[in-house]
Amino acid sequence: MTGGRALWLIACLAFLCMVGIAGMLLADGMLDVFFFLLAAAPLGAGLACRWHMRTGAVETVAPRPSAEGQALLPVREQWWWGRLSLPAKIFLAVVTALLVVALLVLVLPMKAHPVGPFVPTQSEQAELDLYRQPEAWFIERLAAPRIVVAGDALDAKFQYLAEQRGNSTNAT
Amino acid sequence: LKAADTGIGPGHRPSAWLRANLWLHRWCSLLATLPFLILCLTGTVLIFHKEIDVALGVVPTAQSLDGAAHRPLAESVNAALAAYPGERVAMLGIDAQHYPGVLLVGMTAEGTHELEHMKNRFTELATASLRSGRGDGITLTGFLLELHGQWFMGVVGELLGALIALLVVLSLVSGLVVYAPFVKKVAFGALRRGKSPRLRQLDLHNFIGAIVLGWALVVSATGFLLGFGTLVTGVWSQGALAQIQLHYGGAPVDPLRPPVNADQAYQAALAAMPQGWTVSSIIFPGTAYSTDRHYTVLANGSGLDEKLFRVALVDGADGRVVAVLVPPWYMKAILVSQPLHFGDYGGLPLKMLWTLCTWLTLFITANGAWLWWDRRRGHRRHSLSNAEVSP
Repeated sequence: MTGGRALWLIACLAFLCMVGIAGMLLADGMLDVFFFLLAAAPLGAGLACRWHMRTGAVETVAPRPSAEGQALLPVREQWWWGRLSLPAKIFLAVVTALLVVALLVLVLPMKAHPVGPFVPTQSEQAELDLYRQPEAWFIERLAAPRIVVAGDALDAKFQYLAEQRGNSTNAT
Repeated sequence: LKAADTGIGPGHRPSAWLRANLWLHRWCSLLATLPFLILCLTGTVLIFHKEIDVALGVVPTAQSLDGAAHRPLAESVNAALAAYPGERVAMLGIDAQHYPGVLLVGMTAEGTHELEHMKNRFTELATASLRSGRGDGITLTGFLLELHGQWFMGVVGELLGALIALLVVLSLVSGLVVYAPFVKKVAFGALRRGKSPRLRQLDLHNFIGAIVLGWALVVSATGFLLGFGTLVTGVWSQGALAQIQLHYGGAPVDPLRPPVNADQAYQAALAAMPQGWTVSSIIFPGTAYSTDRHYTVLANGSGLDEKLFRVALVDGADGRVVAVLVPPWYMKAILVSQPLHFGDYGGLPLKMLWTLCTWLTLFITANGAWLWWDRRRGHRRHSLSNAEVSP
């Protein structure tokens, strides 16, 4: 891209970047992501442009004017997207979509509201109180002698809970 | 940069407008090169100042209170006064978002009005006990900020910074004008190879300059405004405080232990603010930013209002809010400039973008100076060889 069009592009990109920078200060949530993309647009456009040049899809230097000072000939250009094969287009579209989805996934959890402090229900509180008992309390209430596995006594709390569960299963 | 670099053919003489812009671009850039290189380097570090401060233990960390009640601020004040005899509390700072659970206690020597040499101490809000931090000495980010913002010269240095920012703005705008005829011949983004390193550097200079133009304009324009920050804040606060003193002045209160304590001032100011606003700073009576009788309490809202504080003047003798001041537009412009300049108002992606743009700008500044030096060297060689041939 050359001449006035290139200048317009540069001015527009600079303007978009400024809008993006200011917008991020004002916006929250998804709009924040949108404005960030606007702020980064000139860098993205620059990268795309460089890649476009490397593929040789455009003439980069206009022909020299003649000695008589003739006007410059328009530079032949072809939009890089048009030169891509269909699989390449699909590949690029999928990659772009994945990047957008990844950005959304990254941003959405950040905006989740923090949950309040945990308030247990009555049954949960009873359960919590039970689990907080000292080991001696569980040993006193074991129905069977301590189970020994490979020379080590099984945790009393674990054995007690297993016994309780067994009792309730039998009752069922 | 010479007229030939702009892509104007040998048969064409550049217009006076273009030549003026060439001159402006060349000399504004050259004058700003060295300070701007320093600004870019220090600015890169300052983008991450919060992370660096936390990593270096400048600000101690504490458990976030998440809206739960904290110990009275007066207890923190008493703890600080007891720990540092001969000093007074000049201000309290609360930043629940960035430094949760921590209260900043700014202390100065007794009888000092200025806040410039304030030492930062910290207490834990939940317990009102002093926490160790390294905020009372010279910190890395504090040192770099002083270099970046004031060139170690106070207000004069800030104005010098504004001048550098102005030179950069002029350089950017004139650079765009100079680029216009160039881009007629060489496509945007083209880097010509094989001819000479100079040509490639010139193409790089133009290309990178074009893509960072918007960012560089924002950062240099906000830098220009920030250069007047201390001056404007001082003038405005002195004017406003003088009026308050005139209308509501009375006997000064003891700045060490005013009859109305910090908690009462906090509550009174909060009641005078719109719903949802929070108090961020309490400046005690008897400083450069308060009267001898009144507390100055700064409060912030959310969104844009987070940056645009309001000021409540609370009587240190009876706890009345005597005035709520809204900063004028030029103060607001300076306040909004701060986050826009440092790029520290977003998450890591924004900081990375800022860093990248800073480095790209750093590159074009250095390479622009090299282009100028290389051309001068070429001219010197050319004239020397002419001199050798002519006799």
